[in-house]
Amino acid sequence: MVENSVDDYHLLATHSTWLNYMRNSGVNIQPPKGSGLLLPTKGFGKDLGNGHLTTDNPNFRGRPVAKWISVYGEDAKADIDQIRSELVKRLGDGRAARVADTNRNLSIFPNLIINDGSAVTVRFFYPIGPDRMRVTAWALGPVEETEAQRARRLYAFLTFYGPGGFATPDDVAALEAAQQGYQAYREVPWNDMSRGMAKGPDEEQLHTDEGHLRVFWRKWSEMMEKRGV
Amino acid sequence: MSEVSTKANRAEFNRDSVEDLFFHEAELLDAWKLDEWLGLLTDDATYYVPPNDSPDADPRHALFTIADDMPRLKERIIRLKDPNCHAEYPHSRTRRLISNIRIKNVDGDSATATANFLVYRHRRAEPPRVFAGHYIYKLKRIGSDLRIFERKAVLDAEELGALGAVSFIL
Repeated sequence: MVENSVDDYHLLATHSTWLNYMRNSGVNIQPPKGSGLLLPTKGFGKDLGNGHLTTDNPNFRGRPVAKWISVYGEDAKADIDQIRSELVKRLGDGRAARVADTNRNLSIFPNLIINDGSAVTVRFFYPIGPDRMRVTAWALGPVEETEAQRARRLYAFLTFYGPGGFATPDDVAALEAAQQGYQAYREVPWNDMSRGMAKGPDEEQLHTDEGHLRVFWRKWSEMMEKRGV
Repeated sequence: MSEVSTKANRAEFNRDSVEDLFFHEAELLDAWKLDEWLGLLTDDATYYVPPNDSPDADPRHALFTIADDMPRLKERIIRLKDPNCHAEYPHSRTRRLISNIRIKNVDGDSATATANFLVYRHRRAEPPRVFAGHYIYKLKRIGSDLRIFERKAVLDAEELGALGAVSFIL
């Protein structure tokens, strides 16, 4: 669940139907640029210490606060511009761009996720058996949002998330298939998570590397296997 | 199909015509004839699966499981036919039992009708999952046809975890 919530290279493989939906709706899904990059521009995977981690990405898929995409409809343009100007007025240009033009997938070790993308979703999950995970998810919204803003945020949420969304059911299918594969762990005891490992300590781990995934597993190993990092 | 058309051609809101429409719809969905199914809906139709704990909620106020307008519903059908729709490739086998059909209200060319459903879903090696609930339909008479203008599938389940994803058309 952690890996799926924060790894960015699965987007193309797992969620091409969602990308098609965005593209068919007139959203500009740019082709990959630059070697080793899957998204339009560079994003990062960050180690926040103690097993916590986040991705930090340029936004290309719209944000109710505050980046318009065609899925929101022409009517929404002026309103989103206004949300944006309020951000700039309150926070300044730089900080406003940080809020409106970047996405974060944040993992609080071990089982709390805050994904700040198409809409903000909070996930909490708890294993209730070796082959069963209970997942609870919430949609987070600003208390001061207008009726139209709330409707837009909920609509945006359902483009991607939830048991009837255009992406989450495929994540669930992938997790179930992976779980099935892990039953062969006696014969195949390793899961490769080496992307970005050859980089030096001063080089940035990209969001499509697996450095941030190793952050989680190293902490897990430290606590569960007492091996240390 | 011909029998359905003949009856639908009467374009009346009665038990027979509405039942035929619902049974025909169930047959198309179970056969995964999704484009044909879209043809049963008006061009501005909506499809909702409301939250289990708040079935009467407004999708503009509450987070639904599914709240599709026609542009999104068409995209959903494109997705469901795509081999990269991992949740439904190979697609589920579903078997719908539709019963307790009632016409609640008729107002000129519009009507509200309800029905109970049991949808058995089989997928891969999983045990079958049973989706129980009721439909609330808003229907319209368009020329000689009855068409679906709003389709709401209300699930009885207290929580969705045991059902897995609602990745097929419920």
